[in-house]
Amino acid sequence: MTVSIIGTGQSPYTRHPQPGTDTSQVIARAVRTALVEAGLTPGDVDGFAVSSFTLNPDHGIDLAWRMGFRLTWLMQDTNGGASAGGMLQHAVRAIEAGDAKVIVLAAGDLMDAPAFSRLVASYNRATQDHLAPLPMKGPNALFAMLTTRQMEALGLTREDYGRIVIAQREWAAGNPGAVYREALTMDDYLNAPAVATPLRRYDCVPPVTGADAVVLVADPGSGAPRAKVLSVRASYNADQQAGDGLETGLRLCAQAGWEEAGIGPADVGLACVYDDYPSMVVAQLADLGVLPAEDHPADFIKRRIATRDLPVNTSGGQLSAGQAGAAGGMHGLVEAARQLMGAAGERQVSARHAVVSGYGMVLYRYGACATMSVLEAAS
Amino acid sequence: MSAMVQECRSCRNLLFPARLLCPFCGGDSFSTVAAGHGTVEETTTLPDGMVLATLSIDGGPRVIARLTGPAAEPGQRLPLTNNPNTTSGVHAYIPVHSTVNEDQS
Repeated sequence: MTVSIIGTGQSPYTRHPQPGTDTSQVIARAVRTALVEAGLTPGDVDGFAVSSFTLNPDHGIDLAWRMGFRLTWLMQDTNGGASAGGMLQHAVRAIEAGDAKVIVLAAGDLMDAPAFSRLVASYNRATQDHLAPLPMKGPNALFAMLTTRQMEALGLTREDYGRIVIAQREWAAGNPGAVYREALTMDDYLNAPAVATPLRRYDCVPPVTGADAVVLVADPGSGAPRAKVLSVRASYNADQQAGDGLETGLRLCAQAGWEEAGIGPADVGLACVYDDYPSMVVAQLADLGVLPAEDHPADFIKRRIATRDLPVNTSGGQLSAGQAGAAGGMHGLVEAARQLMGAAGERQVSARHAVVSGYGMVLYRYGACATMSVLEAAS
Repeated sequence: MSAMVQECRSCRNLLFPARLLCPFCGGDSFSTVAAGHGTVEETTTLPDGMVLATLSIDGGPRVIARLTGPAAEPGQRLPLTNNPNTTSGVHAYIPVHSTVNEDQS
């Protein structure tokens, strides 16, 4: 594969957007930042993809028009936490096929309290008909029960999940863009307000308003830092929602993703996995093979994640940086690219390879979409 | 007391929520059948005391329900209902929209 990320951008995440803020503005801000970092202007862009839950009544073409893009390739993705991987998969093929030369991928949402309530009440037909009337307000209760299943299956305790959350909070201290940066103790974690047993406040992401973007080009080899895309894979509706949700679709696509990348899960120096809940960090690391089947998950968390031996979600992840709606899926891709391009500031790690995973779209009981990409630092 | 679920007319598999094509056999003809009981797999308690549960329907799908009485233990069999206002004992309430599960043949 011969496509690289050469610029990243983020509009500042905020829990309390200024009155009058709208989704298209925050997306445009992230896009412009990414283009500036890439040394490009809107006139250079010929491909654009966007994912957002709150763009209505606009669509991708409206954003393209309002940002002045003249395009030969355009895409809109609806897969939430898995949208970044889906857009990346298509964009890489589009550049390889010659459909576009400079593609911007963007995702973002205005996610204040009313927008969040609307989103979770009518997420899809199954939610509208069978979950919202329970009443259930958002997916916390579903992932509470999934976490209970995982605790039993893997022998994990609340403290084990706490170590993941605390490690991410420590990374967030080095990310000026994270909404939660103050240190979190195990006591704080264990005794936080209950959400849905066994989940408490810090097991759940803070909804924020914000956007993320990346710029992709055919591998320039220009000497400028870039994050080369070695592979992208996706899996949708892997088990028809009939399983227990402890395995994600990554289990089906990871092997092909590693083979295409030409490296294995033990070779990555950074993992940015979709962290809507700490149990899903564990599930995705296991499905990717980064958490080896023969290792004990609790030991792995203590030995590798808590110690930073393996950097995981170095932005603080969504659990500390915030979940900007559909940008949640782009968040890890932006962080991995920044790290590989040497642009991560205080939290910079030394890694040549990174794996990024996306997960999302809870159809009824758990997420049905999963994506993985493997990136390599290059210049 | 029971809850309505979808049954594939070709392979007789039970489905919930309703599908457009059967994921087991690809069939597109369904009927609506009553499921009497489910076995509690996990529960979660919300701060207001509400208890939500995952139940496995005998020979059928897993469903998400609200328990209408005191919390039940995993492994316990509970009667299913589409009526949120049951008063006698613990039931597992599963909301069903009026247009769901109708015969699509």
